[in-house]
Amino acid sequence: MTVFLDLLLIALLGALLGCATGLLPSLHVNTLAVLLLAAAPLLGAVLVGMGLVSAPAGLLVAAFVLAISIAHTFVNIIPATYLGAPDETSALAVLPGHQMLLRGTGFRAVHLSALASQAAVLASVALAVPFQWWLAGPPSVWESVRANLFWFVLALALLLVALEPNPVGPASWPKTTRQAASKAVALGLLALTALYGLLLDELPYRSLVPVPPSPLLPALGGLFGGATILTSLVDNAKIPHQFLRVRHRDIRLSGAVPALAAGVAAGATMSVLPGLTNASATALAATLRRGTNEETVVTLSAVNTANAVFNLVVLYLFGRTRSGAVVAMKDLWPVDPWFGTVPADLLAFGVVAIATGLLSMLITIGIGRYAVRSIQRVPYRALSWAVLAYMIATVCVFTGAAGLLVFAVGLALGALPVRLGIRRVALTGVLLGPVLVYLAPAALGLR
Amino acid sequence: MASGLALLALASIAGIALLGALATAVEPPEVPLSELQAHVGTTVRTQGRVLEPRVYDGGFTRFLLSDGNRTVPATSREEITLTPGDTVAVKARALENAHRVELELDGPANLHLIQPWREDHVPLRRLLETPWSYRASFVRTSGSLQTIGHAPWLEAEDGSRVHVIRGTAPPEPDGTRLLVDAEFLYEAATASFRLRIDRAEPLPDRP
Repeated sequence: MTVFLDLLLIALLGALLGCATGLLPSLHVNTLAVLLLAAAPLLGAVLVGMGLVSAPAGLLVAAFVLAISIAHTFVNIIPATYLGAPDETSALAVLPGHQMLLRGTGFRAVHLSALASQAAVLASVALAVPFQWWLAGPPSVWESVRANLFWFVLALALLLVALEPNPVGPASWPKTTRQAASKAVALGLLALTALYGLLLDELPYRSLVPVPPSPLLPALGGLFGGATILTSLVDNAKIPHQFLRVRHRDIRLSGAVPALAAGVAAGATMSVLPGLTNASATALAATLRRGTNEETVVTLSAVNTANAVFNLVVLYLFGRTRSGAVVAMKDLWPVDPWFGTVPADLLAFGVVAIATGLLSMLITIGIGRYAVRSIQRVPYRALSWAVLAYMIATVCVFTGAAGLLVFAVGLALGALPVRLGIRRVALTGVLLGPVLVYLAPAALGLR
Repeated sequence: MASGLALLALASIAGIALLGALATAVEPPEVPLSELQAHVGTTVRTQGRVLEPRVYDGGFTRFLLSDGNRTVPATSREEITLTPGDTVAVKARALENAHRVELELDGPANLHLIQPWREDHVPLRRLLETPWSYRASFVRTSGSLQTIGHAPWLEAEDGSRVHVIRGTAPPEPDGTRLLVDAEFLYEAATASFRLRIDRAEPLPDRP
């Protein structure tokens, strides 16, 4: 019982700190994990000092890191939606989230995201055992998925182009010509961003702080965050009155459940595939789902949170680390492989995940409600400039001059679909391109 | 409107071309394994001998890269077929994990074979007679496993013996005659030589 209470306290502390860090735009949870690992001895001493001695300090600090990483995935929707300033994992959520803000339903996006993230935690914990069976059970199931993933991703990318609904070109053109033009433009943009994505890993980034530079920070920041803010500035966008009431009929259950399932499935799949990150998962899920803005927010929020939980499960199954947070946990707490019954420490982490999710959901909704009221009192134009300056400073500190160049190109690319009048999901080529190139040699029998 | 759009498209294409030129022009620096610490967070080129290669589920390949003085763990996100003892050059990112420098490479395209290992058999006696000429090299030798105190040794029939460290080789009972592929290491702390066994194959008992 004492262990249970200690775990709940860890969840509370982790939720509070994770929610605080999640509010900082552009701060990725992996960056946070590096800092947490460095501070682990201090954290252990603090927890022991607080009387949390019912379980080994390593387990409690690892649970604390898990709680922070989960809470972070809840709250990062707030800067992504209200400020248009995402981190890597919430980059795609800027699109529907910011659109909802400009329609007066920004709080609804945050509210739905918090609910979806907690539903994803519950679903992921519940699915851990079937997931283990799926991976460690009949090998043909997993192997066939892995073998055909290239074709699946390629089909999704082509589908993304084929389903482009907005016609492009002068109104005098025939409708079929305008529709064909929109598909050609979407394909061109997809190819251009794929090329941009392939170049990202080859550039000489320099971090001014002792944290490894991440190429996705300037790229996604420019494509999705910076371009959104710049478009708002050029168009002189104003935040309309924000509705604080969220009703059940805002999203249909028949739309929400498949949206959530797509998010959890993408998060789980990406936790296993080497070379693919949860940013890739959000790109896949965004392409897979073509629902309303509300449904897209549900999917993208579920991906990140489910991925955080499944990364931990994969550590127990294969001893493999798929995120900075799990690397930190592995260093803090020795993990025995999961054979047969669920390991007791994994159950403890499951309890922490659910409790953290519940607390983070309430905190996210609370902060979201407060922030949306505050944001209406601030001149939006000044706020947009301030956020853009903050993003440029972050890019400069974490990736240096090469990162600034990547950010600038991302801004230009990100503004293109808005000016062309097509969906910005074509920009996901930046993630899908490297994924396809990564999977192609095995799928095409080239090695 | 149309000119703004054209300008944006032009800026995007020119920007990507500039990034491509930058990526091509900037070749990662050549760094010895012992100086990797100063390059954490960047991509470098380095070289060393492959030790203890293992392929895990999903295609991950882990191995050690050694230059005789420093041994650094390396991970490839894609499967690579490696032979212990081969000298290879890699282009990889230097990362710090739990205060330890590691290398991470994308796949086979980032690894080039410089010199394959020559499978010459070196008797234990010759290793011990001229240890400095074999220091930090990868050798094939043979002998019987013996536990003396708590430490495992490899002992030849002529009585010459070397302290061994079992790398990825499976444990064998005492007295087993083995043909081993191993790295011959000098341990400065004890001023002695050791064999780190990477691959072992039982030999038939002599009649």
